[in-house]
Amino acid sequence: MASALLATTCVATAEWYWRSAGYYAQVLDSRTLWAIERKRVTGGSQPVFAILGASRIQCGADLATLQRKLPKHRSVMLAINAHYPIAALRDLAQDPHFNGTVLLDLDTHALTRPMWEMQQAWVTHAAREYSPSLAFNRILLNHWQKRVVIAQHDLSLPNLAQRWLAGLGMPFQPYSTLHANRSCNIDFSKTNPVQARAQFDAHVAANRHLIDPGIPPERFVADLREVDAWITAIQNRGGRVIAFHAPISGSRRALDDELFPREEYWDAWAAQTSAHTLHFADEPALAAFLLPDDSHLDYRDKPAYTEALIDILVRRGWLTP
Amino acid sequence: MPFDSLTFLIFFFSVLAISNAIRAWTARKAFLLAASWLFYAAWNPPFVLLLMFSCTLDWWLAQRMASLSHLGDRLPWLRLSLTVNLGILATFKYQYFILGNVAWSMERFGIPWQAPDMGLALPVGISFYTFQSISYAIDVYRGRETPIRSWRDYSLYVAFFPQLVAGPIVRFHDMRVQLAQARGTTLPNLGVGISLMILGLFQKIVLADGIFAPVADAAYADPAKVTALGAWVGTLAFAGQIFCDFAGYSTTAIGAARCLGFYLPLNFRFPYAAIGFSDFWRRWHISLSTWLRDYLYISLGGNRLGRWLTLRNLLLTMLIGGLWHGAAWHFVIWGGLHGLWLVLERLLADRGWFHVETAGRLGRTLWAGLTLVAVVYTWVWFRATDLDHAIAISRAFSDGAAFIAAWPSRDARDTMALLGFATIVAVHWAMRSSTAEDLIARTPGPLIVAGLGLMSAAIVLSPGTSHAFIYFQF
Repeated sequence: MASALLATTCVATAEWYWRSAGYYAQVLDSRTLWAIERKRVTGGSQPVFAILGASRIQCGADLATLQRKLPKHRSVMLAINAHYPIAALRDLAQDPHFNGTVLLDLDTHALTRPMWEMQQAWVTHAAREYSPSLAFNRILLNHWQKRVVIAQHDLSLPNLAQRWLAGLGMPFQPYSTLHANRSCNIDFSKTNPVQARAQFDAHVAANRHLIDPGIPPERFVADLREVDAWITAIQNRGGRVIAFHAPISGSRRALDDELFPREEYWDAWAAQTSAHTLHFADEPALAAFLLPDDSHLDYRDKPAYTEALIDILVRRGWLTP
Repeated sequence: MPFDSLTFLIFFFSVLAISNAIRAWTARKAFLLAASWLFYAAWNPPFVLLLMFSCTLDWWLAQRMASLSHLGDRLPWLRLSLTVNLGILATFKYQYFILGNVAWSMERFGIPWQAPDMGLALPVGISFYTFQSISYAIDVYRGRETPIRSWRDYSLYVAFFPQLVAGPIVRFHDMRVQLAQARGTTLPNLGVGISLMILGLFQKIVLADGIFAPVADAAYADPAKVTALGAWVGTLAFAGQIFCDFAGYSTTAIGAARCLGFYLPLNFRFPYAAIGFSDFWRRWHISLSTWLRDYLYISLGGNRLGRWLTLRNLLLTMLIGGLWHGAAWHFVIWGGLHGLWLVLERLLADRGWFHVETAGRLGRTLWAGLTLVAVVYTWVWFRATDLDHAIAISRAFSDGAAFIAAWPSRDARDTMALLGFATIVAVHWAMRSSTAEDLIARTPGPLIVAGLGLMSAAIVLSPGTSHAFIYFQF
């Protein structure tokens, strides 16, 4: 009992300390959390609206607005922060039970072959390692992580010890929040977007050789025939794929335009693929949204952005509410 | 469900409560068996049927053997048990290894052949419960054990959830008396059991996952990017990780069993304080090394057939021990290296050049240092992803200049891992003649309270990326 009291005191003190310092609790993403959502895209009678992509759509699509705009659909967030989605698209294509609508958020870089396998580890986990026991544990973890700050990895004792040894300051204070449904909110009022843009520019300058795949347009388009086959497989089962190039601005857009001129890459693929393709530049309603770091929306703009996106997809006849 | 999960926490305390509420000993054992099956089914439900089949077969075969008085008459039944058990193990665990090597061999003869992908998942813990079943069958064959009549008790012996998926490998002799006598939770056992579980989870969550795994994973992530600093630091980190991970699991398993009133054998006894390689294997994964000694080494002839056959038997036992750990050649080489160290140690003793038992203090100290270095180096072959990776790491070890040049650039994570490993070695030396239970018994109460409280807090305050217990893949 005394040990339990000591442990509880230490833990409670740590929790109080981090809350006082401005840290907050949030769900932490994991492969099992993704697998739980992945299992939701098949089965049931509701048509599925599967959202694939990376952080732009994970933190841009408002699931509550989707529920309101597409009440007959089951919206499932399968986007993974910092990982391009082609492997997940392949997974859905190879699943004979999937025939829903895929909103595939990606930029041209995501379509290049070296980027295809980024989400494969998540796909493999869902296919081979996932179990009801893991899912149950994950649900328990969700409850724990939503309520206590000390559940954050950055605040773990080993991490703090390393930071202390390295003479680093307090752990990074996140300005994004993940929810149990895997959607994410970014609050730019908690950070300095100018700094974020400057960091991105520095990262690009230092890693140019990694970012520029040096793939000529002809090879780019030829490679994508394989992806087009997966898209066709989904469509042949009655599904639909909407490839969406989400808005970017400033130096991000400049880099994208420089490395992948639209006419030679995106448009060339759009002419070949059977997927519906939507480039943000073609819809002023989307291009008008402010992106504080040139790439992501502030969470306050999510509902309006999502509504605008759905209205566009419905207007184009690609979605039926 | 792994021990370091919230699910297990709920499962364990539920089982503890319910089992103690059941008065009748036979009913309690039935409940523990059902709970053990549920525990195993949490990974992959269909494989419970495989476990049940294995238990039932060996229980029945043992009855058949015991009804025959001559070893010659018993032999076919033993062979059947070994064939089925090892056949199941080979099918699920070694399918790709066997088929891959067949395909490679055929290619050498100019016959192209694509090994089929049978797509069979590896049942968790199959190596452990298979060896446990085999030990029972062999003991009954040799007349060392009379078979147990109760299928329920035999199944509980094999499937008892604390030790089911990653050991310790328990001999039937150790469980027989415990199964016969009613037992439950007592306050002293609960205290020791919970203490051991806290210690085990601390080793796993805080040390293995929090401190050592990130460094080892980073160093071994990309075979094409091996560095001298990474090779050394990563391997030392892995040496720390595998000990804390596996010993942590065993300690937790022993603690969980103790809470329920059962005593499992010790599986680790401060192995990084070993003086010599024989001593190392008397301290590392003790239940496996004694199993290999009793059922493989002795069956091959042990040390009864002269010097060279003794050395052959040693080497063969360790090679097979390596293969047990993983279906890949680098695991075989890991086992082979340990066999080589044992053979060299035996040869030195046989020739009178160096005998650990009679060596002076300096000799024993140097030999202990050599043992540690050799054991750490051998982990390269265990952790690497394939032969080429292990060779690349081994080469990087020898690049002293690159290591010295890179040393100032090590980061805080590397430093923590090195300090952590050094601490483990120091603790092992301080405790080498003792056990964790002895330590708990000798330590003043307030210190135990403080230690357990702080370890429990550290467990809760160390959320991180959970790494599956390393030995689950075996």
